[in-house]
Amino acid sequence: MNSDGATVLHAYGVVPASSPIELPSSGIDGAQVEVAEASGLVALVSRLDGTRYGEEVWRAHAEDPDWLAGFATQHQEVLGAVATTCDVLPFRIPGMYDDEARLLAVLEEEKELLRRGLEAIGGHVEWGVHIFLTDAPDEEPAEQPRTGRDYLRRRSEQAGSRERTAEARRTRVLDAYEAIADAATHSVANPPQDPALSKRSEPMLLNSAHLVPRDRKDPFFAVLGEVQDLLRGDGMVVEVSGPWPAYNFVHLATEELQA
Amino acid sequence: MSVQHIGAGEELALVDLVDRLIGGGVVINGDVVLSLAGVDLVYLGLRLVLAPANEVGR
Repeated sequence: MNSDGATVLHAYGVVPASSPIELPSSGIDGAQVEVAEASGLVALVSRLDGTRYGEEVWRAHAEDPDWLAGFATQHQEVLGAVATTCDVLPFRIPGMYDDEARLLAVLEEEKELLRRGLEAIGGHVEWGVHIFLTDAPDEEPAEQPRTGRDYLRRRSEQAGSRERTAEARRTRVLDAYEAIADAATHSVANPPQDPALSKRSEPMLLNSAHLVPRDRKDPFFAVLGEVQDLLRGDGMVVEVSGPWPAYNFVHLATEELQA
Repeated sequence: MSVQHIGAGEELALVDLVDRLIGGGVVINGDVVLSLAGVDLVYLGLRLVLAPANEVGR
């Protein structure tokens, strides 16, 4: 491919051809968001300047965090706006094609996978849930140990007590996850984000994603509220983000999720 | 009390988006495949989005 200098086509994702869709007023770089239809699927696309987004440019920026973050954010803004009302199967980036004919050929080739994916997430959006430990119980105030033996015994008791607290906390978080998952069609628990990455000083205890029917948002939030009430006494807070396109559930098209 | 909700249109944490883009999203054959010895450069790059904060050596 040598598209630099010409126009390249970026595909955000696909929606079913049958669904009414309200297109965002602008996409990446302010480009118009258009549709390209093939095989009962509608791809959401933008025509981008090849000198800014062609293959060579991607190659040059493939390890450029700021450039990628900017692109990813704009990609998500389009998908996020669409996902609030319409089923959309998000594509990874870069989804760049030389022209519409090339994109349509790929859609035709992958139509079974894409249709199955759309079916699996039909009528759903993804919600992200984080549980943070904001208020760890204070250590018992230390009385000056009289002897080295006292000191060592206290250290050992404190370590045991910390371990029991951590174990009890893990159980409560697991129970919370199961309660939240019961209110969702599918759920996945991902590794907690490092505090350095989440820019939060509090440890993250749960980083989960839940596929929830659009019309079940209220019951889902009610469960989150109940979970929050249960966990507050233990110094844990629940945060929810979304609605997201179903990024975490596109694999439902290709594999059975474990319950 | 209700939970803290970070909604669409508000400032989403970049880490949440990158979390999703690295782990999810449909991969079909785009014309741009940026790989080097089987390593997907873009996803390497997206991991780097997160790296600067990580320099403290956690």
